[in-house]
Amino acid sequence: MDFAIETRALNKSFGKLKAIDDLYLAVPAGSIFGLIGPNGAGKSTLIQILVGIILPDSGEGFILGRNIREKDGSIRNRVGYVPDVPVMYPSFSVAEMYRLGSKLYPFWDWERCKQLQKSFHLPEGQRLCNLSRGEKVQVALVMALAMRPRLLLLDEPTAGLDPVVRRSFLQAIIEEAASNGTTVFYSSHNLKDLEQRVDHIAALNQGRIMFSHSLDELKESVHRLQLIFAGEPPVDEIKSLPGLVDWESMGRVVIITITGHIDYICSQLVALNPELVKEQNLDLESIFVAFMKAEGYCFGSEGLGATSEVMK
Amino acid sequence: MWLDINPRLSTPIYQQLVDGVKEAIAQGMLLPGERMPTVRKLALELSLNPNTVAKAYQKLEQEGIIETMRSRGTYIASPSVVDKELAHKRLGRLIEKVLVEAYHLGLSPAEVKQLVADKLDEWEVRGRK
Repeated sequence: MDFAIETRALNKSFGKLKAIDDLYLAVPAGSIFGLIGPNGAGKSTLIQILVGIILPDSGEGFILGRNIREKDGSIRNRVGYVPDVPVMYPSFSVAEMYRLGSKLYPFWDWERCKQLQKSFHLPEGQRLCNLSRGEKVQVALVMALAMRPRLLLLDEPTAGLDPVVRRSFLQAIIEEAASNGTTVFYSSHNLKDLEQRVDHIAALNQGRIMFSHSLDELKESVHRLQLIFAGEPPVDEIKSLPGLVDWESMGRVVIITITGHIDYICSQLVALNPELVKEQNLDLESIFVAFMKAEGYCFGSEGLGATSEVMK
Repeated sequence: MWLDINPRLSTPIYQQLVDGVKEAIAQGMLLPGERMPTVRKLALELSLNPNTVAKAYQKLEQEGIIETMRSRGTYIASPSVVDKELAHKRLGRLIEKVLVEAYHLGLSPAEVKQLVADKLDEWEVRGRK
């Protein structure tokens, strides 16, 4: 398979903090790839390494088949990047920013630029310092698409956008992927946005990949099952089930989150002799929360200690 | 839009699309020979990943539900003649699942029979419209 992004044993530290820790990632060309992870997981650092803003301490990275350490930056003519906080000349007007883009990028497409500018209704004459963060993000997206990218890197682009603009923003991304086959690599906390629009997803935690799957694969390989027992649930046996991610019990009812093929899981459960086994729907958010819990990233009062440690 | 997709279900989205199209045909909302929207159009309309929509179209084509005519688009295929024995086998498996569920819901065989008969009537009425 062709990969638009590939990293091998990538490492990056800031002082004592290990931001990226032995990271392996492969993003298939033509996919819309979602990157999730708690605050401080290393998502922005990873994207900045891929764009070439910061260099890794060790390891290899490739975008569109070219090494990220290459001095020749020409491949970046085909990489659109929308940072979480766009940096643009504050005294430039929106129109002047576009004109700068047209000079910087050899594949600049004025028609595409005008079409996007129209759909976002951005104030062309306005100076950038007078725009809101959301409007700046839109200007950055217009530029990132008008340069005719083959790879689009978006760092939490929809944070702080109003619902209407968020939708046009996401539609523009889908249209780009559908019409031009552009690979989209996109970090977000909005799992609902991701769930219906990405085909692959990776979860990052403390600089490491927790899982990386096609979304269909992930949904077919993680299950939440409700088990009802006649008497006291066999807790020890449940805890030692292979592939168990998370479990909770309420009296005779035990709810487990578990990875593996559903037939294999059921064959394992037969030995525990439950009265009823019922599969529950498991959305991306629940999958993510279950994995984070298994990693020790706790929620609620009992986990405050662990949480604050991760936050630091 | 006649397709009702819920991304939060455990059922993968491409499978929901496949099921949705099959249901729409069975209910007469889509007719043989009718043109399907392009992958790009459907992806934008439902705000879904184009690769997911493409995957659903592939599955539907494999199952003979839709046909792609080169450069002319995708159409609903005429109902295919499936081997009767195979059809019985496949449907039999689904019916078994229904019966298991019925048992756990505490429905008697007579009640299940009545329910099936009612549903069939409902479908026939809808089909005639």
